[in-house]
Amino acid sequence: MSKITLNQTAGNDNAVIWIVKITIDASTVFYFSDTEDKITLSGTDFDGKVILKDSLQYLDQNINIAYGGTLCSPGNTAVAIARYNAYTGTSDFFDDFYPATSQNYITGRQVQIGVCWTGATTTGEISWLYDFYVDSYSYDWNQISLNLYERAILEGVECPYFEVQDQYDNGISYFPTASTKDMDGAVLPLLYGDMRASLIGSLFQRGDTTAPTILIDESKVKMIVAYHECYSVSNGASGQYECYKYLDGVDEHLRIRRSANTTLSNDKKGCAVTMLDGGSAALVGNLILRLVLLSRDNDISDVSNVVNDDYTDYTVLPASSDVDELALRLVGEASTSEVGYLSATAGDCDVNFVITSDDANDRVWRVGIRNNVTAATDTGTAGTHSAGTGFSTATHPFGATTTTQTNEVNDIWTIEDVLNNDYFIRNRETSEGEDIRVYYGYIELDNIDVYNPYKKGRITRISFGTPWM
Amino acid sequence: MPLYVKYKQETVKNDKPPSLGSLYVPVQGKEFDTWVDAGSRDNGYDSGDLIENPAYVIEDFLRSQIFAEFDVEITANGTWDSGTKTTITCPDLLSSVDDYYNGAYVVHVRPATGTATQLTVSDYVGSTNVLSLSAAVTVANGDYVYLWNIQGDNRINIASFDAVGNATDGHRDDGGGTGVTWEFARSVNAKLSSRMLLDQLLYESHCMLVLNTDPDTGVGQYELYALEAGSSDGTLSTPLHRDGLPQIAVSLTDLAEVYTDFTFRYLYHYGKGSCVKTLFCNKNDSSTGIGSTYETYCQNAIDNYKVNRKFHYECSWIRDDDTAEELFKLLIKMMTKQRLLIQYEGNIKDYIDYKVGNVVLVNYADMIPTGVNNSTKFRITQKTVVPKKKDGSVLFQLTEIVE
Repeated sequence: MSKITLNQTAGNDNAVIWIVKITIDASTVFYFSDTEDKITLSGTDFDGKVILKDSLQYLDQNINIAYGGTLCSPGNTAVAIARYNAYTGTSDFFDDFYPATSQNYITGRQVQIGVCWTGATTTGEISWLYDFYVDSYSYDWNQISLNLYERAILEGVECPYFEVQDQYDNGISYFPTASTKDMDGAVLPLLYGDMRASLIGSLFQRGDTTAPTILIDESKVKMIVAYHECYSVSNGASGQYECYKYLDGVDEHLRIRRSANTTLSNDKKGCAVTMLDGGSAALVGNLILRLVLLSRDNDISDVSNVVNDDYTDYTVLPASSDVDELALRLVGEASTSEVGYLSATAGDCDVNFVITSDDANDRVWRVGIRNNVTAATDTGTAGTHSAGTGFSTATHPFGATTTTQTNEVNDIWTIEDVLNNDYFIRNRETSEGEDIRVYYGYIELDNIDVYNPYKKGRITRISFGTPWM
Repeated sequence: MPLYVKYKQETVKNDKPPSLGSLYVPVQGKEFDTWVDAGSRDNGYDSGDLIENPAYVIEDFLRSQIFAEFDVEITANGTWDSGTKTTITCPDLLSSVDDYYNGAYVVHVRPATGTATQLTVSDYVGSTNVLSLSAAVTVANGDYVYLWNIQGDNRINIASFDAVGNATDGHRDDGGGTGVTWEFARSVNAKLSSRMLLDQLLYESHCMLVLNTDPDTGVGQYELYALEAGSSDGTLSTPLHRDGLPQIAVSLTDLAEVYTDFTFRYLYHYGKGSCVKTLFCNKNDSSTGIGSTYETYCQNAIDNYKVNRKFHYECSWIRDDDTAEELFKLLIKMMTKQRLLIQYEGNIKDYIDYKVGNVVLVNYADMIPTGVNNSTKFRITQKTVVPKKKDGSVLFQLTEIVE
């Protein structure tokens, strides 16, 4: 940026005239100068006997960039006005301003300071250099001293401004329903930039979060994203809006979606997503968990390439005629109250290992589950990798198989059960050298019943056992 | 004897639905409003584009959070005739200066219908607090509006922001020479002071924000500068003399501001409450994308200053790798070096027109070291005017720019 363009060619320093303009309101403006008498510019007198001689203090601006980028400190100065002057509005000042009855407030009012040089005849020749506000004042018998600050309002503002309240209807932050009581005082967010990029489309969702929301209506799962209009809100493949819940215990996001009746409100009163805007369809979840913990039954000496975050390296699983296992577990903890009820459909709960062959030939594999508490084993699914050196996924769908559940026989699966088990892959080839390369493994849980207010008192099962007399 | 069937009734944890807890939504945030196209402004961005360039995040923040008045009630002191209006009366507005709100945006949400409207103020009468609007709006006595972008174009030095943010050649966009478009993103979902938020924005964009006054209007204007950039606005070569001595003094930034081992975390994870990506650089090694040049800066700092100090920073606004690497490199370059500080005092006539933020050279070979004199760029970081008739002067503090 270039220098200040002065409105009058600068004269010598002994010809400098300092100008002070105080704006009380639209009709009350004071004009002063530090001349001996006064100067008249464009017909306006700038009285010279009001500001006490040399009372205008140092005019200071500074910014400390020693540590990097930052904001300037508010400049400040002071100026003193004489008590005994002929200027209407300031003479005998102590009775001219509040708290004198019916007089003007002077604090909070604008004070501009400029400069011109002897010979100036118009206000257009003033170069304004400072824009202050009266912060406070003090006076004695002879003078009133105005303490001036630059626009320090910056330091006094808390933002974002809007927070959930039920006191007055401003159309933006007023939420009087009972379900919002817990959110009273929550701040309606101010949102900039792209808060979606690294999550959408990625298989594992733990590395990032999208934008936090304010759950304003739990019965409809209505979330305030921002108090203002947003550029866009992403929706899923079905065209419906989605949201995510972070599960701290397993460091993953539960993706929540619905097949119909999700809505977006995005205009000047804010951005909000409603997940249950009519209809009876439930919210369903999708959760993908990496297998990263070593099982006690693992037979492979080094699984580091399977459990690291590099999805391009691998661990070799040698041919063992369906005996040796690469066995892993999930890490962390989560509860049904956090996640919801898992689906009992086979294809909705899968254990997966991403594999290739180490040559162009097929490989046969087995993926299964073991419960080391009950010692039950689900021998799982046997399959064939037929893509040569291309990737394939060895999968065992276990949603409808209850063998390795811990808590109850014939129960539905819970996240606690899933976290409790070991998951293995075996190489069923018989000849040495027919290796399988294993890149990573994961559990995918789909169609989780996350939240369904339309189904009360659900799932009471009766399991039948052996008849007895 | 009856035949019984052994059975077990299982009721599965269904006394109440699972708690939803905190939910997150994939979203892109605020978009530019018409202020970006005001007048002949042309910076490569248009109304409706996503705001993610840090220069314009800062500008929008000023316009929407600082230059704003919220929850302003519409009333007419009991004589209000509700209906569709092109003028509204708002007695709670802070300014009573005519035309003060001209150009500001007025957002009105009609509680009865939820209809949201944003209009522009075309005129303001300070004595009656009457706003004239760009179009008619249906309102009722007791409705609320909020105003933003109040005096926005008077209080923002547009040229300075565009120098930093312009999509063609801005210092924080592709044309700035680095080939990297800086991107900021954040949900501000807790109350914070505007100064703290601006400080974070400015630190992470490696920019400074100063308040200078428009010489014509007398209104304080915010100016934005990229710390590492700028062409010279002039040369300081005639300091004041007192007792025959030039009023120049030279010093260095504190040694405590020099670091040799850097860690930088970014991509804030709202669930965890911390950042999840890390960059590092020291004399031995650095993250991918940083490189040996910056490792050498660290080594040089150890060799030159005999210190070994660690620096750590957690970002609030940076999520993407490219932006993080750019800021990280700028910080390493700056913080591995003690920089020169110059105190320079000049007369009012020749120096009153310099302002904080200007870039200058200092040409005074009797005081300024060889290699620096009339060559190294300095930023004016302090300006103190002594407004005395007989003994007035302008005192500057200049800080060396690390380009």
